[in-house]
Amino acid sequence: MDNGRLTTRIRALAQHIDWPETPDIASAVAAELTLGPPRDLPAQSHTTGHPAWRRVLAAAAVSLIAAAGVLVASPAARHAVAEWIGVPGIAIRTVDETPSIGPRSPGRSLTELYRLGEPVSLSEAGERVEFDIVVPDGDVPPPTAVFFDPGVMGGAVSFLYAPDDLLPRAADEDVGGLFTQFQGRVIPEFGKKLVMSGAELRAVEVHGEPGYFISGDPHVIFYMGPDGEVAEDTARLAANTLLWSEGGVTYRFESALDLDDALAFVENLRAL
Amino acid sequence: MEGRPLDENHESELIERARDGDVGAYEELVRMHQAIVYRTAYFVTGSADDAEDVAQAAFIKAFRALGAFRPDAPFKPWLLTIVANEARNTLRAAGRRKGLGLRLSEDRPRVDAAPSPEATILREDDRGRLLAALDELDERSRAVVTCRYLLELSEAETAAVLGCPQGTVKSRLARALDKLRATTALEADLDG
Repeated sequence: MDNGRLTTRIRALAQHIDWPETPDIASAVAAELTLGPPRDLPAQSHTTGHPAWRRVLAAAAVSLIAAAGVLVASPAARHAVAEWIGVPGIAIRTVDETPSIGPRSPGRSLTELYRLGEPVSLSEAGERVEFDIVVPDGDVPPPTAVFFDPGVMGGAVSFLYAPDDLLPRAADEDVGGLFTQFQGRVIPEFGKKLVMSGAELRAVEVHGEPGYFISGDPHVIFYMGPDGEVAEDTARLAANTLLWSEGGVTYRFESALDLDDALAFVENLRAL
Repeated sequence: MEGRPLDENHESELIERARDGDVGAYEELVRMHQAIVYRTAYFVTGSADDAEDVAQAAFIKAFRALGAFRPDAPFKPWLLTIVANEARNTLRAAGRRKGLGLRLSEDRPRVDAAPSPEATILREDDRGRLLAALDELDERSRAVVTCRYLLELSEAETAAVLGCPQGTVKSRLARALDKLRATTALEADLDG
């Protein structure tokens, strides 16, 4: 048998190979790029990276992205679902239970616990990010500390405010508020996720732009670090959270303030 | 294969949009290539679950590496290089080795391919013998024949999967076919 006949026969054999059916990888990949990998969700007890779980995530993500408008994470919806809420860089997932975040152990710094990045001056932060930083103005005092997170494409800047008359103590006794800004277009690389259970998500308007206010039961925000890994002890207990996006930049303000006071806090923003 | 027929212009456009962060465009690109990527990953790992994980991980890595992809280069060999590396890493981590691990389907037409005249020239009994003969080949020979003829990859794509120069694909393939031809039983059964 010459090579030509042999290869013809092998090609014929190829028509009869029983390959496993190809799963819907495209949807799973799109969901992972949008929401971040499911293994980064410590609240899940599933085996990390389990294929079946990935498929569930993909299906849930796709269905909820299509069904925008579900704004309240009710207990009835406590199966693993994820929702793309229209604020770039933020996705929401409801879970059966959120992990409890105990009090900060002695000696652990706020930056270590909250993964805020490097402490920098306000002007240095402005030089290092690829967008124009804004600073709450008006009656708002200057931030107590400024942090730059180089692990985020384009950089993320967080202002930490100590508790004072304007900002009551939030989850941590040293924190009155946290105001973070980053470029929303970094979604696939950054993939911040917000995990909540029983919390209320309200559609609001901030500076004429659509946004969300999350309040109610405790909810937890997980941050994905530059290494792509998230551990439970890097999670931070958020207070009420105001989220919105303007000019390609996503803003998040976390505090114990109610909606009206939170809106007032960010009402006047001046460019650096 | 599933998905629309590959159109190079459309593919280039999707790549360009994906490079700009368009996840929807990338999803379409993944859908175009997911079958061959999954099968290649299955061929290397021998596990359907591992193949799915490998395929997903490889597509994610490829998305993040798109900035380094030369727009004038063919996409599929570049993608398959990433897939093969990911699959080999998975196989190494799992610490196991496998044979060909392919089975023959029931005698029914494949749903994802047009009926081929070739499909009719191999009697049912002969398919099992030919597959067994392939399985008995040494690993390199088996791999090159599988890539070229069972996965229907080009020489460049085969080289990408096997991590060797294209010339090596040619020489390995020639040797592998010689070995197969030399299989007495195969010769007698199929050529008689």
